[in-house]
Amino acid sequence: MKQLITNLLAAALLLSATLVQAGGGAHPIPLESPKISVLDQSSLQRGADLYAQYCMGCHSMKYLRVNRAARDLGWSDAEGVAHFQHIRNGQGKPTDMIETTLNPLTAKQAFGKVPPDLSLEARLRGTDWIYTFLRSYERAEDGSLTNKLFPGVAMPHILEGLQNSLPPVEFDAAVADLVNFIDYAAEPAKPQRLMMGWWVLGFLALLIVLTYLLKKEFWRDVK
Amino acid sequence: MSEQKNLDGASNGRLLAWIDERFPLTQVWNEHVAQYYAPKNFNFFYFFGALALLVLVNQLVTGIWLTMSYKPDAQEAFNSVEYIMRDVDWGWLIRYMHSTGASAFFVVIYFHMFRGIMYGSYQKPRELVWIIGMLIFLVLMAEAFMGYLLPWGQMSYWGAQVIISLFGAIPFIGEAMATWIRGDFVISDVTLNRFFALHVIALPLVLVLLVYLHIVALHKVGSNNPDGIDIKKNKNEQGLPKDGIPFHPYYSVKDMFGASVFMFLFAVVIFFWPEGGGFFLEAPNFEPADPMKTPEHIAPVWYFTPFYAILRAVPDKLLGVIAMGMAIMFLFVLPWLDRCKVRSIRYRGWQFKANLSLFVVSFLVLGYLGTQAPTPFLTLLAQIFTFTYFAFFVILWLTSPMEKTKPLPERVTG
Repeated sequence: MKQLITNLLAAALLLSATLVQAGGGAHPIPLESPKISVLDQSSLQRGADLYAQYCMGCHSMKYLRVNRAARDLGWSDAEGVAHFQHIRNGQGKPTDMIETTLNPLTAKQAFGKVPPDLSLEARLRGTDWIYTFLRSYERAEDGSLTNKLFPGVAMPHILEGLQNSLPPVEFDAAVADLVNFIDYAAEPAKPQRLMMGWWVLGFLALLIVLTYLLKKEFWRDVK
Repeated sequence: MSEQKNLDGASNGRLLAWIDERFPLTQVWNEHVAQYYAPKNFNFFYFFGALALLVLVNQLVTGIWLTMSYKPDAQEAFNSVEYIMRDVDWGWLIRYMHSTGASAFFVVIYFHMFRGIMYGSYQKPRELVWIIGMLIFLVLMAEAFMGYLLPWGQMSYWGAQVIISLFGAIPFIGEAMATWIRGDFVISDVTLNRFFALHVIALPLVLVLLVYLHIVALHKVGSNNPDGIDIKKNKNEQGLPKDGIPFHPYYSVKDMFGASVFMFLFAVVIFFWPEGGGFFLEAPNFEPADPMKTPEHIAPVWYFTPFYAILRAVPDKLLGVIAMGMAIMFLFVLPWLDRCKVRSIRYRGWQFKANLSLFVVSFLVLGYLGTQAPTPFLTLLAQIFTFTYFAFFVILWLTSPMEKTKPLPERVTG
């Protein structure tokens, strides 16, 4: 019986190892992981500024409200509006969603498609994918642009100016901040979830000890 | 006011007597809880029945709260889920408890069923307990399938599209039936509305009724145990089974401990791993349903993948659907396929041990294969393990009467 359980556990472990391996193979280049945490508020702030500066011109985050982001990033409502100035050409309200002012028709003419909403991009593609994608643009000698992770992507290398003005390490750090903000935007409750989790586990660990002792006490007379 | 003051021990007794004259409260309590004698040798695998009940309650309660903010409307469903995740107080927690709860339900139920097979809990006289349990499993699958459409993401939509189109394989009436189920020629707003109705009202009612019947049937015949022997054969002077202990307080406190451990693991997933590596919440489901854009690879949620792998392993669509149905139907008739007189794996022959191991491996491998895009090699593997899955039932029927079993103990062992 014990052996059967051990065998089953071994089989399950083997299976999950295969699953993990199978998950990584589908991309043209291997994905890299940024060192980020949504609990790092200053990183989120830098990321939000980068987003407002480089991304929001085309990409909305229609599920993220300005004052919600401001609150989670440690800004006042007014500061939030200021940081996301582009909204409504400076006429923004704290209750606005983070929406681009780019006209979809213009976008179609310029890029051939409407840039996608990025509210849930981090959950759809994963932070590793976005991080790798933003750092995979290459300009050939003839001036043509390719992305090694996403060949034929309609998006121009919007961070090219930033990349050229910063040392590679600093550029990677800036992209990581940006990805961190996109990750936060995909699940604004994530910082709260991660912090609360430890308290819940602590409580339940205590409950396990208490219920175990209770069980032991009641079962003393069972021979 | 004076009546309230009198509610001390003595008047409590009077209140209870008053109720007992009108409703068998004490009698029901004693029969099913305080004087329900369960074998004292339950092991790890016996936590899962109580845990299934806990998860059911979790799903019902969180489900009620989700419906307060969810909108069953093709235009609004996806938005309303994000609304719950972002704007509803504690909405994210309630939603994760519900989505993780669905996966937890199947984890718990698969352990529970495995326990039943391992210790022969379906054998005489517990055939009806098993069959009602299988009906619960069937309804649970329907419940999970319909619930999965509600977030209206890409995988919700296309998963439902694929599964419902299976009905189209039935000769003559298939296509009409699929249209009738959807209420449309494709999955649409109409489908979403009726799935919502079935998911939140019809199926939960059936589920709760079946769970009630499962417990009534169990308490009529009494619980099996890891030794698979009958504790009612050995009674003391008072007519109580020597190896039995009252469910309450012994198993109620033990199950509290089990529930605490379960909740701890459940909380680890909810707070630190809510997507479950893409198995509890699939990444493509964070993109709204788009009828014009088929995802590259459509896979059902993990708990359906063993059966999905069987479906795909058979080259013919109709035969595949039949095989998938048979994979579940064979479980229903287990009590009659197993002709061994000994219940527990502890005292059964090597044939059963080998056979059951093969069955578990088949189920796990099929579950893995169902998550993968088919390749010729993987399809061949799926065919082999589909064969071994069904072979379990045939071998069981053939070998169970002639197994060389070990002698059963008089009393339960630890």
